[in-house]
Amino acid sequence: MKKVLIVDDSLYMRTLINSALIATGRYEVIGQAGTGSQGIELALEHEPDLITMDNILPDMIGIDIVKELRAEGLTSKIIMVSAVGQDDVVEEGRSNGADDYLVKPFTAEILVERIDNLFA
Amino acid sequence: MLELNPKEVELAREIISHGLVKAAESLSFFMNETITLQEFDQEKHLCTPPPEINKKDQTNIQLLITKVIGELNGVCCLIFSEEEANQLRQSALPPEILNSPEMMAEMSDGILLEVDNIISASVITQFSNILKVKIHGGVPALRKVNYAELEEYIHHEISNELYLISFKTSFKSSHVSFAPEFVWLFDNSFIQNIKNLATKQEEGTN
Repeated sequence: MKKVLIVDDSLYMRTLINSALIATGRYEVIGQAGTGSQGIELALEHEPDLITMDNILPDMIGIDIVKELRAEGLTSKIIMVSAVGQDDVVEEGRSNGADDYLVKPFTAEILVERIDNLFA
Repeated sequence: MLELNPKEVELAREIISHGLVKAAESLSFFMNETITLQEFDQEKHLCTPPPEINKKDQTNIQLLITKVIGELNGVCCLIFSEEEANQLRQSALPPEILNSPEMMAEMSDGILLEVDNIISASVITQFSNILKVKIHGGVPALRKVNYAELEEYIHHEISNELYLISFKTSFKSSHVSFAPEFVWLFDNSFIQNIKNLATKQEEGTN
């Protein structure tokens, strides 16, 4: 089972991602964070296989968190999951260490497909 | 105040319509049905504020507010009546949440905030890509207000933030009773960026 950390300030989105991943039987959600600082703490403590990362958090920007985690040497797969879908922001996310960038809204099927592809 | 010439008004109408269509697509996702827009008429809607909101008889209006942050200064208001908000919850939330009073207590406002976050971002993404400006939406806020408070909020925003341009649309669904409204307010930066794009397009064609 791949260990997953969900970082998103929306309880609705955390619940949706959690349910979609658990239903596959291939992913175990080991933590959920509603803020960037909490996300960094949990990511460095648990070193999950995958992090789903929102881009606009109450205290931080997701891309900055990805940069920080990569600078710390974290090798987890990171998929950015955000409503912010501008071409330049998606490119910035990818070029700063995110393995994929999924723009909200999306179905559970699309989310799982994109995450499965990261481990294929 | 900067003013748009007829060509620029047409360009603004195209950009705004493009953004609002994306918003309708996002709302369709949550409502599980095709949501369309009231026809966008620039003569009525691309004007100095304030726009008129069609919820005068409502008391528990769900006002969702997202600030536009970055190279454009503005705010958008997604406005649901209590009944419309309940229809959205029923369509967007899975049965395990709808059937759990504890989870509903936690999610009832959360789903509205997330829908607002995604719908406003759909529009902001289009404006950003077309106008080539770096903008994003802030963390959304929810206020439950009556009509007078709603009007007061919009007037307050207009006078405090010097918003000079507004546009409004209503979403339409097969349900007669579902017609949330979507109001956008911008300062002069929006007009200036429309003018800049119009100039670039004109230079490109000459």
